[in-house]
Amino acid sequence: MLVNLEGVFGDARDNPAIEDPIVVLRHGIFGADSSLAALTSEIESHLPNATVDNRSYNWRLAVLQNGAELADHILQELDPDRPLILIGHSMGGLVCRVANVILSDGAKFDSLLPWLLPQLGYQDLIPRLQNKFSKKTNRKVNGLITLATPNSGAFLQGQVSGLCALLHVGVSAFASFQDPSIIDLTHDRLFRFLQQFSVSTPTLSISGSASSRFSALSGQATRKLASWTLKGWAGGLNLSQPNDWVVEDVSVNLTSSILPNEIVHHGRSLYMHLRAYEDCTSVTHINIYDRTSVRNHMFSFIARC
Amino acid sequence: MRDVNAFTKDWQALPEIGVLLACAKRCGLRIGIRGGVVRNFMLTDGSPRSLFHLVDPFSDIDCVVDDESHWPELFGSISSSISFSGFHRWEVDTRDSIMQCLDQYAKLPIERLIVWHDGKTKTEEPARIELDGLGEDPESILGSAAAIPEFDIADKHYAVMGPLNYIVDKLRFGRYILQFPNQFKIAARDIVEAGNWQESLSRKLIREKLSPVDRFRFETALLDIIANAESSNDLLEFLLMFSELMPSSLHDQSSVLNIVSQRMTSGPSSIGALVYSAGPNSRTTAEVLSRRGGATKRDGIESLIPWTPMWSIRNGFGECCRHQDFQNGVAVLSWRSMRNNKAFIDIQEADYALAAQITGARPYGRGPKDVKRQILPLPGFVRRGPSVTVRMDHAFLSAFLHNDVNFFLGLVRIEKE
Repeated sequence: MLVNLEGVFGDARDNPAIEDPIVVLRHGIFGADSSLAALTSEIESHLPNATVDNRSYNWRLAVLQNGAELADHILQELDPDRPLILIGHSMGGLVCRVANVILSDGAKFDSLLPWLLPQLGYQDLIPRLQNKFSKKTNRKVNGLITLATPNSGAFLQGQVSGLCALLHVGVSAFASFQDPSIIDLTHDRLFRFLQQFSVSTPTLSISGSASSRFSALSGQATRKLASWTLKGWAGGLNLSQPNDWVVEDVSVNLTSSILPNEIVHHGRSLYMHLRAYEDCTSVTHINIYDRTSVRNHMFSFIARC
Repeated sequence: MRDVNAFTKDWQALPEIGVLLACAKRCGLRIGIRGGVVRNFMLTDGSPRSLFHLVDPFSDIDCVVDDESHWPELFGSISSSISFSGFHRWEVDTRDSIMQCLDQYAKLPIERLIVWHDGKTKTEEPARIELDGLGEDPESILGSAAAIPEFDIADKHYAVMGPLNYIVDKLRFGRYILQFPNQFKIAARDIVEAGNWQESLSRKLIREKLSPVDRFRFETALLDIIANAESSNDLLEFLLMFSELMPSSLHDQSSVLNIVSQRMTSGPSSIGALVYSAGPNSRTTAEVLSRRGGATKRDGIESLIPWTPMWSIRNGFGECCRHQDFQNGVAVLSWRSMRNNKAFIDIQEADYALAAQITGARPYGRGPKDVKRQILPLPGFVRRGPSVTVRMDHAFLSAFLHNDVNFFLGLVRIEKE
């Protein structure tokens, strides 16, 4: 059973399977394109005419830099006339949001850089990013999906370490807390940057709700949904600690954002945050893109934007 | 030495200062920085790479505000906006209270200087930097930044504050000289030996026991020297000389001094220092560490620093409270090589990350329990220099494992794609 997206995003088109969108997938921290290989296959079978652009990027670099490189890649190498969907998991969702603001208004991005980056602590990026986009035509983004993305604010430092531990990342692959991407995740500079923009891209954010990241070894379990109705979660939802073991649900939802954001506060985007859906209590940070119910909601969204 | 214009320009070039100015502007307030960070900025040759590289391993960042009520808003903005701010302690005081106790300890002229970041400007104007000499001309302060003052144990304020403060002041100046040997024309040992102080200190220490606060101040003053001295040979010579000068009653009361006198003669390859509180109700401890031999492997995993035993104790609140960063404060560990002064000077900090090898854990309030041997990442900040210093959120381990955790801390090289 799907949560009804129609109320926010409108009716689904009749036969989306014959359409030829470009679907850009970007993995999260510690990930690679292989993390999203199964999702890529699923999209290709569901949308046979689609082109899926699933690539690795250096997740240690600043999210702002990776977002700008993604926007540049889209403008340089992907067909500008085909519909474009951006899907990002965890930090990849933030990369997609940066790309989205650049594609929506490259001239504004260029004009803000010189004064904004130094006061946010991004001065190292100025030579790499300045004057790259103002002469390029803006690119419509038809839809943006963020999966378990900390959209609305900073991580705790401990969450990054917790994620390493949950992923069983080998000791030699630990992230340094001085990597620019970790700074982005644990401070507000990226969010203060994004709040300067406004976009109109339809946006769906999906969170997992498995448990608390620190509950796994203590026997503390999240209470299940007491009941489920077709219309949603009006009756009986009682998730005591909505958390996917890494990211709090409240961090995923842009309407809970402490800082105003480019999508809900400043933009005209249609926006929905999806956290209570079928089987969501077993959806964790690292399995969210492999869950059938999550994928079904993604396809339902793509068919409407 | 810099004049006011050069000082302001170079200060503004520190990457964190633009963000600090933005925080001041955002709050419509002003925040000053003083103390060790400003002193180190002035005495360091060349341009420092970061504000945090100016924070000595066991020191904090001394901030100044006009009114104490300004601090929560300013610090909220700083902690969410300035990278790595959480890994450092920010101490705040008002300008008025600093003025009141200005002459209570001997200081370098540069230690009078406050660098204000003033966000109380008009809406359309950016925040600005101003220098404040607390009643003295900033230009003349900068001109004589490193002039060591005359001070004597017979001075009135030492009679009030106790003779140990005299020794701590001597240790401080000794540290500055060992840390910035090019900026001073006097040897560190000459500073310590000068003055007829030994008899009155001995009398005092035989009569009275050191208070825990005094003992901690004394021990961290020694650890500061260990972590900051530029040359290992000069450090060793200074420590042995100082140890001999100190009365035996002080040796008995100071674990650091005791270990220094016992182990420094045995030629350790590395010496280290650790300051932290293991748990929320634990006393903050200062330890000196030493190691002989070169290998820094443990269970096959190589570490840049010797694997160091530590504890992470739970908060005891069970499941009632969510984890917060730095629940037990910041733990600081510093190691230096005694054989190679440049061992850690050129490392790239971002190439290294903190790792904890868990050796034991027990549920809070219960008996010991075996846990699967594992290695976990730890939130940490690395600073290079004559010693390599790591600042960490060690409380993460007990929160993650739901146990009191005994672990060895190492600094491992990370793999980049």
